[in-house]
Parts: sequence; structure tokens; C-alpha cells
Amino acid sequence: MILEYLQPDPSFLDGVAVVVRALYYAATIGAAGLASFMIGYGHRLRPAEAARLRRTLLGAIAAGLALSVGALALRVLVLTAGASITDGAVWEAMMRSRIGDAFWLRSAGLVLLGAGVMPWRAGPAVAAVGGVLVLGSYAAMGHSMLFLPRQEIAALVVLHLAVVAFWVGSLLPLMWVAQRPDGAETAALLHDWSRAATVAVAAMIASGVLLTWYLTVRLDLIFEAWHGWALAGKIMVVLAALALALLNRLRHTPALEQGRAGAGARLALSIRVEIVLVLLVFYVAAEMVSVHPVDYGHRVQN
Amino acid sequence: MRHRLSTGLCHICRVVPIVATVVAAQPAAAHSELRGSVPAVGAVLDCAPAQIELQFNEGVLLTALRLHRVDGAEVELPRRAIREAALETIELPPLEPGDFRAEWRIISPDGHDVGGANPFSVSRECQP
Repeated sequence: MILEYLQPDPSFLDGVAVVVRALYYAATIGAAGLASFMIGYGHRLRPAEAARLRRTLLGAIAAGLALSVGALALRVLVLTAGASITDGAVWEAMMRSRIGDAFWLRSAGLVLLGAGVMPWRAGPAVAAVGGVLVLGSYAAMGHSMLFLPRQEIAALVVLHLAVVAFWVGSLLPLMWVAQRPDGAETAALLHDWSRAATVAVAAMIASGVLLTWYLTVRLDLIFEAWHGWALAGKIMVVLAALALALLNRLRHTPALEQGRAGAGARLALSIRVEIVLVLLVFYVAAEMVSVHPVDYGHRVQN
Repeated sequence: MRHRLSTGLCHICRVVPIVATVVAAQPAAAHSELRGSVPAVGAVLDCAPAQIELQFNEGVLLTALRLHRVDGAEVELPRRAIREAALETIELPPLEPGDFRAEWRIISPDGHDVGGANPFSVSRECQP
């Protein structure tokens, strides 16, 4: 939306599409992350927290499905230059393209994520498969399909998003946990989660560096387009969120372990700020993919 | 999507790209581009063109081409099948002199929607 209106001759539809894209990033990646938290740490939540997590996951799944369908309809309107939302030929062309592939993968994945709230023995495994499909849908379209080596890049995209989902999806339940009146059990959970998150962040950075190595050859051209500036903005917000996460780990969690007064409330507030930063990251990412970079990278030659 | 260059901002910071590439995980985009068109963007023509040609850098799905007079009305264009092609040629009905704007939209091979607008002018009426 912002970058659209920084250009000559802005399109309102393109601007709205950016906002919708950011919302479905948050809903779908958030849903995958909520399910991963449920699989990994759900058994350590109290009944009321677990019930709240199930409701939140179902809400995220419903929002993800609704936003995905809404985004398709909006895309048809964009692809007809505002002429029609019901143009059958454009719907058909879109659903036969990578847009359709990604939509079906994402939708199937979201439905399977719902198994995470069911009292089935296989529920967590089915939800895990759903999470992979949701995250894999982001490698089914976009640049990762056009660059070499395709399989490695797709795997890196999924790995990177899996870590992002784990991080993002943990924030809400961790915030609830931090608000518990008693601290010892809470601190143990936070401590264990932090250890896993440390490995996850290392994986996020490693996959990010590898993706950059594969996809960016001409570093000198990175700021030749708004895309590079949006990327820089996104990284700055990610670094701010990571700094906050580090503060939580080094200051707020130990304070909670030591039973200091108000430590839980301070941690919950800090996590709330982290959630805002993460939402901002999703928005900047949606802005970034809406603009046109200078073509660079190990592109497949047709 | 139009080319959106911000070359004036490039000299501000040389350090940020290094930080960006260390942490970045967002792939570089590879959207399709319009490499040329007939009439060219901003062309002033003596005679109305019989067709519009759009040349892309790769095979794309052209989903819309809408032609408007700048002062208002849309010029109806024949409906065409959507197929993958790098060069699209769209026949035009006879055009009166005036200013026009051809708005196009495509689906690129990576699944991104891309669009742009080509303005052109017809200065006078020509006999066929």
C-alpha cells in the first residue's frame, strides 16, 4: 500500500492487495506456528490455556482460509484491471497457474492443521503434515520456483518459514503463560522453549544466508529498486524483534525464575511488543513482494 | 507492475546491503517485465494504430488489456483467449484522434500478477 502510493499512477486495488497479503501471511503462518506450539508444548499448558490455544488455532485456520479465498477474488479483480471479479476465463487461468497450486496446497494444509485440536492419537502428526503444506505453499509460487537449484531453494524456504512460524506461533501462548500468577513451572516452560528457540533462530539465519547466496548475485544492484529498500526495512524490524527476544531470554525469564515481583507482567508486555513487531514484519514482507526488483540471481534460463 | 526505481537513494548507505544479505531470507523477486510495446509508451502517432503489441521478457498470461480515452470512455476490445506467450498482439477498432491509455495485466510464470499502463496519443485522422 505504502510503496504503491509512492509510485506515479498508484492503483488502489494493488494497495489493498498488499494489506490482504499481509493479513493472510499472519493468519496462515501464525496457524502453522500455533499448531507447532501445540504439538511441542501443548501438554505443558493448563486446561484453560490449552482450550484458549485450540480456539485461537481454529480462528487462525478460519481466517487463513477466508483470507486466501478473499485474496484470490481480489487478485481476479486486479488481473482484469478492475473490470470484473467473476471473469471465468481469468479465474481459470489463475487457478491453472502457480497461484492456484499455492492456493490448494495452503488450503489443504490449513484444513489438516485443524487435526491439531482433535483428541486423536494421530492428530499431531496430521497437523504437522498440514503445517508443512501451508509453509510449502509459499515455495510453490514466487521466485523460489524460478531460481536454481530449485529443490534446495524450496527446502530452504520451507525450513526458514517453519522457524518463523515456530517463533510467531509461540508468542501468544507464551504471553498467556507469562501471565500466570505462579512462576516456577512457568519459568521451566519458558526456559525449555528458549533453548529450542536458540537453535531455531540459528536455523533461520543459516537458511536466510543460504537463500541469499543462491538468489542474490548482484549485491551492488540491491538498492536499485524499492524492493531492496523494503528488504532492508524488513530486516531492521526482524533484528528489533530478535533483540527483544534476546532481552526476554536474558532479563525477563531469569527474573521470572527468581520469582521477582512483576516479572511475568513485564515479560508479557515485552512479548506483546514483539507481536506488534512481527505483524510489522509480515506487512513489510507483503510490501516487498509487491514491487519489482532489478533481476538478479541464479535464474533458470528458459 | 511498473518499474519502480529509486536510484536517488542508492548512495545513502553502503553498509545496509551487507547486513541485509546476512540476515535476509526473502528471495530476490523475478517478476516478468514488459520489454517493449507498439505503440511505445508516450508515443504521439500521426495515424491511429491498427493493433497494440506487448513484448515481454518471457512467456506470460495476458489477462487484461483495457483501452481508455484519457478523457473518459473505454474503447471496447475483442475478447481473446488467455494463453502463454511472450508477444501479444491485440487488434484495435478504428480510433478517433485523442489521448489513450492502454492498461495491461499479466500472470508471470512465478505466479505474480504484474501490470502497467501505456499512454499514447493519436494526433490526426488518417485515411486507410
